[in-house]
Amino acid sequence: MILCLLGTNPYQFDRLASAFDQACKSLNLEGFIQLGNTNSNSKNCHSFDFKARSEIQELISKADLIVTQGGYGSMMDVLEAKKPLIAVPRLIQYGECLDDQTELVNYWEEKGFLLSCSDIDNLELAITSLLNKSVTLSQYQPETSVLISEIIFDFLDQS
Amino acid sequence: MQSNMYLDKKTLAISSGGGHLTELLAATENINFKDLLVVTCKNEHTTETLSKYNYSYIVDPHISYLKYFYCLCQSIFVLLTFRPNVIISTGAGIAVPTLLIGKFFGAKIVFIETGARVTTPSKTARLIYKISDLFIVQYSGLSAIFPKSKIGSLK
Repeated sequence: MILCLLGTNPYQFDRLASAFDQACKSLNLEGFIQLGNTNSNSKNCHSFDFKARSEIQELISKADLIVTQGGYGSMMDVLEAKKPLIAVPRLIQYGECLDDQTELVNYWEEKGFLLSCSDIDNLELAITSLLNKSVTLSQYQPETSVLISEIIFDFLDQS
Repeated sequence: MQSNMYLDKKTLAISSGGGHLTELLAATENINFKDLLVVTCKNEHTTETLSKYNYSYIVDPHISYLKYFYCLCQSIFVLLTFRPNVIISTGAGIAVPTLLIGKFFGAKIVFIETGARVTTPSKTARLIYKISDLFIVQYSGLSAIFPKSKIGSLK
């Protein structure tokens, strides 16, 4: 089963929704898509707009591979679950977002944590290479071992 | 990891929805606050997450001037009724009135740049950096732009 997450972004992302739907058909895979605020016809996979975060995490745990928009939250949920991840950044030039998503997607791809897919025509190839393990990913490592909550507490406790 | 970080301060944690809220709650979940109020915009898919917090909704101004004005009025009301010692935020625009006015009222300002920003800072970060008492970034690529910042990870 493959899963696609479009997150809570208020903009449309039909480019990914359609390509994912088509990939489910072409590759003959069972697919689930979380559409968020995107209006899209998903004939070849199960679709829903939103679910509680705990339910999304449960779907992630059951999926063989997850395709997400390039949003920090969506990608982190998958990386924490240690599942194969393909990130498709929303592009400002297509009106898919207000803030750039390519920066973080490219950074994490350079580190080997995910496969990025900026050209949506490459989505099916990316999916098959991860599923047949011709491409393997590295386990996610945080940027530093210093926790933000500890920095905040140490600072405020002293002041 | 310290497991009993008790903070004896009235704290207001404010952010817009989606990833900003997720990051805000992750940044503060290990801290045991004497009194914590979470302020964010109304979003049907965050009610489950917020249910274990004391929370309040204000309008997300996004890019509307009228909504900014409404957000400003609501922010002032929250500050006058809650009177926080500390304000923690991950942005975005929704938090700006609260951070600026809160600073004026003497609150300590803690700002965390989102994990989505690797080398290019957000507009909110640029605005809030000068008035922040603690400024946190999540990647070393931003340290040069914000010299007094500290680098930390959420988990």
